[in-house]
Amino acid sequence: MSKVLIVSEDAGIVERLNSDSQPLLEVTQTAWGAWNIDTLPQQGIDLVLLDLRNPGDASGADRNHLVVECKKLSAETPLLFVTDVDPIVRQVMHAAAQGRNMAFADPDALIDVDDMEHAVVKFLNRRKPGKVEPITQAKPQSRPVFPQLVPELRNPESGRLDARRISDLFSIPLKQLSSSIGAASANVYKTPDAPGLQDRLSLYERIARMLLLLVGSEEGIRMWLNTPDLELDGELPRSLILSGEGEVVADLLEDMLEGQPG
Amino acid sequence: MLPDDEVALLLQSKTLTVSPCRRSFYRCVEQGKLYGLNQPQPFANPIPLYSRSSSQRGARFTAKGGPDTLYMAEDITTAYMEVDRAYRRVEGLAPNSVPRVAPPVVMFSITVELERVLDLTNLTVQAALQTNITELTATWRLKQSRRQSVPTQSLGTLVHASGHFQAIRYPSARDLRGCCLAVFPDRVVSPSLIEVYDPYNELIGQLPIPNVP
Repeated sequence: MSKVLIVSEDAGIVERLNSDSQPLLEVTQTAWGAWNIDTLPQQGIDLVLLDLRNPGDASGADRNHLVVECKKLSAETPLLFVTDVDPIVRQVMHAAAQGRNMAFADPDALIDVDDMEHAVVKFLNRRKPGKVEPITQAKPQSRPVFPQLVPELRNPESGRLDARRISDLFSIPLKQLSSSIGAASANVYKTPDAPGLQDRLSLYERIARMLLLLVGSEEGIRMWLNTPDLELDGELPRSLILSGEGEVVADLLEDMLEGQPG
Repeated sequence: MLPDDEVALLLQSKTLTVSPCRRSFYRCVEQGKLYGLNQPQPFANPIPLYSRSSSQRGARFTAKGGPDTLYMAEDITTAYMEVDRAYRRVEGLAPNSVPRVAPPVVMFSITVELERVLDLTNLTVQAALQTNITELTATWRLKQSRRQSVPTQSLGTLVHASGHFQAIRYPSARDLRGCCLAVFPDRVVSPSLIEVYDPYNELIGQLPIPNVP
């Protein structure tokens, strides 16, 4: 079980995590003002989660100082920042943290226990070589057997589209994803690759496949989805997908691949 | 833009300037899309002059379900910008952070010899239609998706229906210095010609489709 230290003013986080009958993480919490960064190396912590949403007792300057110190510590202990800054800035920060011992999570992840655990476990796994590879357009040695599919979005055992994996790639909390496809989130949490979800998830795979071809990386996909597009009247592609207008995003990407002059 | 019925009358009156067009145009297509590499089986032969997607998905001068229309750009830069725009935007956001992987593309030239083109870059034509560059380059995708009227699609439908024009030349929305051509394949009859340039005979495409003995 991984040990996680949460630095936050939100006392409910640990309570929510501990409410899970089969917790994956051993969680302790401290407020910003009470955190003694110098003791961190002795605590055997696997990951520090820094909740940047609420300054609590510590002033902004103190927090910034702590974050700077944390960055030095990140050589030993991974840091997961939870922030609600502008989505574009967050994506840029996310990309900047790639390959380092830091990552950024969506604030929604703190509301839902499953999302929270998943974000932490995924990040911890990513640090271990060979466990979880970043999703990028691979260089196949031979032509893929099913080039129209995106294996990264499919459960390797069932072969079916997996809402959890889609949630990761699109950086959309599972609850929102469930809502966008008109499915009960409890059912999606329980069986994210259910046969009954496959048709409704197929648009996500279509969009992911084209975006992987066009921008070539997981980070690129999230940046594109979270940047207003002039051709879509300045709306975020991500918002259109979530509001049920994903077809127009898919059509735009098809036209890009075909080089259709607009 | 004039109301549809007035545009139709204007087209019937045949008073709009008719322009010939003889020059090379360009199209840039992602490699997998052109060769069907993203299909269970690749295409036996690529179709560089494929024009059905415009009527299937809609396009600037083509309403969904409208006539097949073949779109191409007047210069290489504009053609490339169409396929490269997603990558370019992401690269612009974080130039040193994202992997610099641009999509593989195939760029090809298309020889165009047409007699009857409606040139919307001509200010006299714009004035007659009571339109302007802002309207001609306006966004259309969400309007189409939300079932709102798209003036350029209405114009394209009427121009095709008039039977008087083979193509529409228009300013590019992507590159304001560039121009594009929307060709109605069913209006291209000999001696007019649309032909892909490929000395290797790999990308074969010609309009009108030649009779095979």
